Amino acid sequence: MIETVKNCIEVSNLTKIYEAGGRSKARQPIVANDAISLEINQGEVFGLLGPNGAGKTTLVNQILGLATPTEGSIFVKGIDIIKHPAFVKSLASYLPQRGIAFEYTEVHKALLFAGQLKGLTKIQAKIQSEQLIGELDLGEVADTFFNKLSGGMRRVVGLGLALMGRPEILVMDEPTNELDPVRRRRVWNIIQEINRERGITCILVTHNVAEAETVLQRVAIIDKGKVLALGTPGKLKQQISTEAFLDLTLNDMLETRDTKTIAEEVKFKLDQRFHSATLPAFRFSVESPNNLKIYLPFEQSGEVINFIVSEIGPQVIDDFKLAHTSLEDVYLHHVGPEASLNKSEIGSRS
Amino acid sequence: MTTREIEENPTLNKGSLKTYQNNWLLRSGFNQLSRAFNDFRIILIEQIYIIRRYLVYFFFLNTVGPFALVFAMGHYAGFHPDQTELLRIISGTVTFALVTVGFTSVAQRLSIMRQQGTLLYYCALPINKVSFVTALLISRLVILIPSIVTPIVAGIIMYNLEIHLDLWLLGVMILGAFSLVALGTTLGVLVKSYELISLVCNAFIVVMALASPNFIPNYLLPLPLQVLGWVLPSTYTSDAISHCLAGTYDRVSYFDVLVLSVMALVGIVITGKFLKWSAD
Ligand SMILES: Nc1ncnc2c1ncn2[C@@H]1O[C@H](COP(=O)(O)OP(=O)(O)OP(=O)(O)O)[C@@H](O)[C@H]1O
Ligand SMILES: [Mg+2]
Repeated sequence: MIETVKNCIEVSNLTKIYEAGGRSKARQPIVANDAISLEINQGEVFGLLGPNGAGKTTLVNQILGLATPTEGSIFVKGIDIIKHPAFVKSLASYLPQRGIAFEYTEVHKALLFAGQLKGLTKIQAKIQSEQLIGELDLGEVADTFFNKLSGGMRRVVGLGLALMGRPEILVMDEPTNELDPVRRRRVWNIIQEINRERGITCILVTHNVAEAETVLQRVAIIDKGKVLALGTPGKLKQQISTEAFLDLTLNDMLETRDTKTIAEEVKFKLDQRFHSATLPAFRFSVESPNNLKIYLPFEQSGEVINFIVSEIGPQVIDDFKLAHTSLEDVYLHHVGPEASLNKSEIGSRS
Repeated sequence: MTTREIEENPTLNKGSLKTYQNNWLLRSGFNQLSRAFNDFRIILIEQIYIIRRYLVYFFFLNTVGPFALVFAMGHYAGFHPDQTELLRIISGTVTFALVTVGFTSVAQRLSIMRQQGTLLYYCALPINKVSFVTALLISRLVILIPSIVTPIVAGIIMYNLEIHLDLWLLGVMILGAFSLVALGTTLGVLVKSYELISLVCNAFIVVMALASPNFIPNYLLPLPLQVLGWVLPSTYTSDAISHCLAGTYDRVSYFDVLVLSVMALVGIVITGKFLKWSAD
């Protein structure tokens, strides 16, 4: 018996061109997606990152059967959804950037309606909606009309509406936009939970790269309709840098020595002891009188940290953390202001 | 293993493909029909929730308006209308109200939904386009009730009119309203911009309500307007209603009903075909 369909969604060579509007000949057609190929595995949380106008919404619209590609193919669970868009609609739920229906309906009824439109019976919908009201902490607003909710609550309710009917695939366009920090954390947790417990495949479009990092299992960074990077956050981080950094906060027991002197002393000893021609040199940066950052090769970090701590003296260290490049760094590397620089660098090397 | 690979490899078991398709490709006809009806019901309720915010105003204004119109027409310039003329005033007012209220409502709603992105939200749901359109249409028929009832009541109260009330009349009025709303919807589908829709609707309203065989009998109109009247649904609605009110069912009124049915059907078919059910 063939069980798993590993690749839940297979997008290949997907191109979407919007014809230029207006009469002016100067206007060019917009290539919103440019030969995009990617696969999204069953049960993973997949992130689509990229600047405004990168083509993220256009891509998810096509995956959801809401827009017809100009070229290329999309298979969801092995079924060609360009031919059968109804299939993906029966399987997937969509939390759009804007324009959720049920504006003038009370939240608990909106949940019921959403469930029933997803094919649930009234009783099933009732049970699920009550469960979701609990999980999403919507008790207080259950009797409020949807249009009377704050922007953030609308997003949470929108997520609830999308979860009705227990979709196999959940596509979220900016689920944490406009949310306060507590709710944002909550939404990330919910996404993680539903992914873990129900095995829902999640596609997340977000600008909140730093926070999404813990949730996303794989990401694609898109710009100008093209995939610039694709892989697990860890892989992508390694691609741009093999360094980790040790972030040290020192306390007042420094007495006579200041941070800068310590940095110089430690650097000297470190270079003597660990540095080799094959590895990058240790880099130090004094961020503030009490803060010191030491960049070190990731593979060596364990040994090196012990050495540094004993050199400086544990009683002087208030706090320290070892960090790797963040997903945000990866994002900035590909689409940030330095991105074109990075690219020309790569170009000159090859 | 993807289904594509399964399909391409005939030696493999096709069980898992079937599981996915069972839900949907192989859904039985009856199942689909009951789903479609269920979707229709839910969307209808949701649409009525949208309307209910201003239902009181709506009923009030749409009662006062037709009432005043019947009153004014009956006393116009020392005119003493006879029974036939009074019936024409009543049927004309009903049609007038149906045109002003019914023709634009769905068209405007659709363009609002398009603008807000709600239309796309519905597209993303596993629902049928026909269920959606029909629910939208029917929801707007509800607000036409006062427009239909008031002129008749006004006629009875103000002029002691003897009106022939029966189910046939009810059917004709619903059909008239439906065809007007359907054609208005067609407009909302074909014309994308909100501003343009208002313009076009207003032009249609003026012609249908005033410059066609509605209040003014056909033979009194100049020839170009008579010809124009043949293609407007309002002409047939008005004619059919006045026949029904008088209780005279003849070949002409059956023809009216036929034309209205065809127009309603054409409206729905065009809407179903051209309503863009996507983000393209
Ligand atoms: N219906 C449309 N007609 C014409 N052009 C469109 C249409 N929808 C999107 N575009 C264009 O396609 C490009 C990609 O748009 P898209 O909405 O996919 O970006 P996005 O990555 O979702 O951006 P954001 O982060 O701002 O939501 C943009 O240049 C946009 O102007
Ligand atoms: Mg977008």
